[in-house]
Amino acid sequence: MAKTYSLVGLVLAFSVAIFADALVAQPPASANSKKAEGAAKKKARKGMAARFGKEKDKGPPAVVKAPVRKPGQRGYPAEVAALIDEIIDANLEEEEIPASPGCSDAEFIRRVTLDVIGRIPTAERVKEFLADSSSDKRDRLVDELLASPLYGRQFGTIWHHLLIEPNDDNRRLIDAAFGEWLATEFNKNTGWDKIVFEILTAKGTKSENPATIFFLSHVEGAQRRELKPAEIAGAATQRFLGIQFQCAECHDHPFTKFKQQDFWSIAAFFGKTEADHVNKKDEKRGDSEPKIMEHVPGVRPTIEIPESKLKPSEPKFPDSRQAFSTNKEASLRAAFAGWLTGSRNKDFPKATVNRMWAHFFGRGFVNPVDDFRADNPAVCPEALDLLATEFSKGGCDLKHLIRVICATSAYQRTSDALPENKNDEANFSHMALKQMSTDVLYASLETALGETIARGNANEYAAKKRQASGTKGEFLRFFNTSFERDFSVDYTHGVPQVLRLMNSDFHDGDNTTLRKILAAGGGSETVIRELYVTNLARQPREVELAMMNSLASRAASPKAGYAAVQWVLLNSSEFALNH
Amino acid sequence: MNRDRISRRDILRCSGVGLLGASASGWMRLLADEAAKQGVKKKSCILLFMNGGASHIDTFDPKPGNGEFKSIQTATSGVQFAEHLPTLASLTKHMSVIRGMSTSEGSHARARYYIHTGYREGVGGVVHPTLGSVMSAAVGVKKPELPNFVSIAGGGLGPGYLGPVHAPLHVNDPNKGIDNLKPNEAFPAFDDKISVLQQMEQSFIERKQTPAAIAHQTTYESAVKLMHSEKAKAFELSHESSESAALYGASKFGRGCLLARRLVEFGVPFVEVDMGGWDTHKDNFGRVKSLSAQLDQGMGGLIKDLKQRGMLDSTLVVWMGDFGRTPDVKAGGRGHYPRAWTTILAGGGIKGDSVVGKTDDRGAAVVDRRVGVNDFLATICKAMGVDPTKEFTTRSGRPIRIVDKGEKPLTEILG
Repeated sequence: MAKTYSLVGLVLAFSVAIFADALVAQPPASANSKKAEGAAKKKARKGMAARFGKEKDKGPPAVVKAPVRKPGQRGYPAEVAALIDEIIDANLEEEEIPASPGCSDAEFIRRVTLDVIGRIPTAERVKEFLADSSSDKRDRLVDELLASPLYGRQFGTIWHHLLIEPNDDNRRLIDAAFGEWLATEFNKNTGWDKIVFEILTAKGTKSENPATIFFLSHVEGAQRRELKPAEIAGAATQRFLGIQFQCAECHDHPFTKFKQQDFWSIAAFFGKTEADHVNKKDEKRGDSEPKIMEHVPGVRPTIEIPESKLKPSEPKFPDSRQAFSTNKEASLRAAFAGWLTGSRNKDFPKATVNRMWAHFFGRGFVNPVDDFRADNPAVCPEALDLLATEFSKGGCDLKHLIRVICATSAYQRTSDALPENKNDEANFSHMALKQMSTDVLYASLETALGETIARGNANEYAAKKRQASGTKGEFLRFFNTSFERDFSVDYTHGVPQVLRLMNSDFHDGDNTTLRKILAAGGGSETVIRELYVTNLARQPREVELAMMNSLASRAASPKAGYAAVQWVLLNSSEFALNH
Repeated sequence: MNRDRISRRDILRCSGVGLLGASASGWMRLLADEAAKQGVKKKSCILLFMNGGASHIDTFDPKPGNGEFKSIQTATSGVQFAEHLPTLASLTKHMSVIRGMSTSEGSHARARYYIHTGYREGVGGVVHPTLGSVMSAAVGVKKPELPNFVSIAGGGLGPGYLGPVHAPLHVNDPNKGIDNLKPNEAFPAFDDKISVLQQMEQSFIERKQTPAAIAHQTTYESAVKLMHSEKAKAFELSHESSESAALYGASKFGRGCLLARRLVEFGVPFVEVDMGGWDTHKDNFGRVKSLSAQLDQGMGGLIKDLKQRGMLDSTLVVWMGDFGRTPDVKAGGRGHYPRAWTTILAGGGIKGDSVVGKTDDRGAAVVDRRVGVNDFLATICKAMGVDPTKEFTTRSGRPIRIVDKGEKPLTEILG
């Protein structure tokens, strides 16, 4: 057994810690569950050859050749992806749910472009990709997208929305600075642990250091200088650790081991941080910026628990028995950030990879994505652990994580449901349909029309708001729904949004895309094909070609006819959803 | 080409299958059914939301010596309001003034979420539905011609786990009605596009078989139905007489109240009207005085008009905000204060001439009959004929009560 190592058995039976060693072929321990054993046996009968054979079709064989590496070294994307697929496929087999087949190139380019750079692909890129016959073109496309500055912008925007609550107090902070700062870090591929550390320890004013905006968004009071440590602790643990600690703000957490005192022990790490004005004169004039600063902890950096008889909390990590020692002149925030992002904290990589997985699949291994607790078990927990280990091994490299996710067969399945798997939402048997976020919808409409849609509607109210923050801001507010903070596989737009999508003046038939296509000449079929590729990243089927041809010919003029075709495509669920 | 036309008509003919139901005759029949259903109407609710949190002390729970305003006697003996609300003071026989409100969320977003949903934001990993969405689900008609929930001049809260079917239709400016209600071209051409869209959707749904695609289609169906609806004139204030308009005043809030009455008349079960500007950290008294003038005319006009039209008994009017404001005045302003504040219920079978709860002589603490968010929302549910203990189910199958456990509805004011 010692040297025969079966990846399947290993992956299914082993804890994360052991898995790191698995790559250097340590002897496996006994399987720890009957389910895992059964699935492993079933799978093993099919043999390794078949699995590697499947891999060979997908990419260069070198990728799967050398799984033996030193501990701490990370894997090749396709190789790690294959291990994850093993687990997902074994689970599907166990659940007796068949997987849908792989997706077409057209499906892939639209999906991965939306997911990675937050907009539909251009018609040119689609045509080029479909014509490319090389076997590694999907991997190369992922690399190309990750190298685009739009990658940073996509994830910068997502994390901006997640970290800055869009409430009234923060309306002055809902500007681009934080998102841009994040975008730059994402594009540099700074480790996620380092980015989070910076967010949690940032000092200075908003213009000196945009990373302070996270803290500035938790400031209260007319003078805007009191920080809300409890809110910060709640946001940090939920967003970065996937733990909904904030229940423990007011009572002991009903589903976890966390007590109210534990929550306030975390909050105490932020009790010495303040948002003060740089100088009092500026403050009086009302044009100074608050500055995030941290005081020396002192002897007792305790924090009062409001409306409670419990004694004030001292800073303490929830997994530690003793209060954090504050004798030295240490930064409390740095201590907390170090603990949160440190390699011993397994919750940090797990929460990160779960959220990232959900971004690509519409659903995490654990759902809701930031509600990890004992009675909310993960689907395919071994895959989650494996991915988390891989992520922390490689220095919390987000681009590597995305390469792995995009290389899985699970990600590359079609979203067409089979009769036998149409009801499956949890096991990744087929790709889920995801609603475009508001930002993605906006960027995609602009890509499709080849121009800005910001000239907007003729509505005075909207126009007034435009002056304040631009038409894009108005569009984003209009389409934004409270759903978006979760990963939603639901369609969440209501009647008003749909009315705007149907009847806005950006549908007046006069747009750059249509003008370009018409100027290029060609018959009706050429124009319709071009519109399909532009909007849906695919060619029309014959029956669709006939249907659209007929629609176009019924219109008052050819131009109006093609505008009608464009209108139908832009209003279809195939456009509005990422599939 | 000719053949295409025929096949398209065929599809229209059997549009019982098609969700968009593009055929005019199909629509008309559906509309008639709904009209009949809306005829046997239950109660309606108009929620007036004081965005930012109105000072209880400077409006409906005056404290002599605290602040700059005098008190005036209302039509109910022993009950006084602040001086800038004379119309509302004359209408107290229809109102229950709840002076025992005490909640615990002091930041705007969380407070609004709490008072609208009955749950703390972020708890339990779900987004809870706002009151209007709850009522849309509980008393609204299915596939309505007009939406079940209209939100005027407001924003923010949505249907949460109840999904887009129960999302509010937003009207930004009551004078303008709904944006983008008219197609860019004449109706036959628009309907032609819709019928082709319908065919595309059918094929997509068959392949994907997922709720997201179906929800997309359902929303389009409702929007198209509204575009065709005769009842869309419910959103046009130009049909109102100048006398009615004068009753409510020309302020945006007044116009919003007028539109709310009009929508309720047309059968919309829940309308929320938002009135901003109450976050009076500075110049509290100057601002509350001018806001009170608009509130007094708008809300006063609404109650009078509903009474005149015989609609007051079937229409519950709710007045509430984020929270109250501090008894202390600092730098001319009052801060956020959830500990003790006031809300009002009027009409809808609520016992008038009544006051629930009492605060101390500074308006700082509730000294009698503390009313929490659960108690308040449960009372609204009861007044609307909705069981507050009823459970909705989230998409993940989790049952969640409309109003969380521990509720004590104010039975003394329920008819």
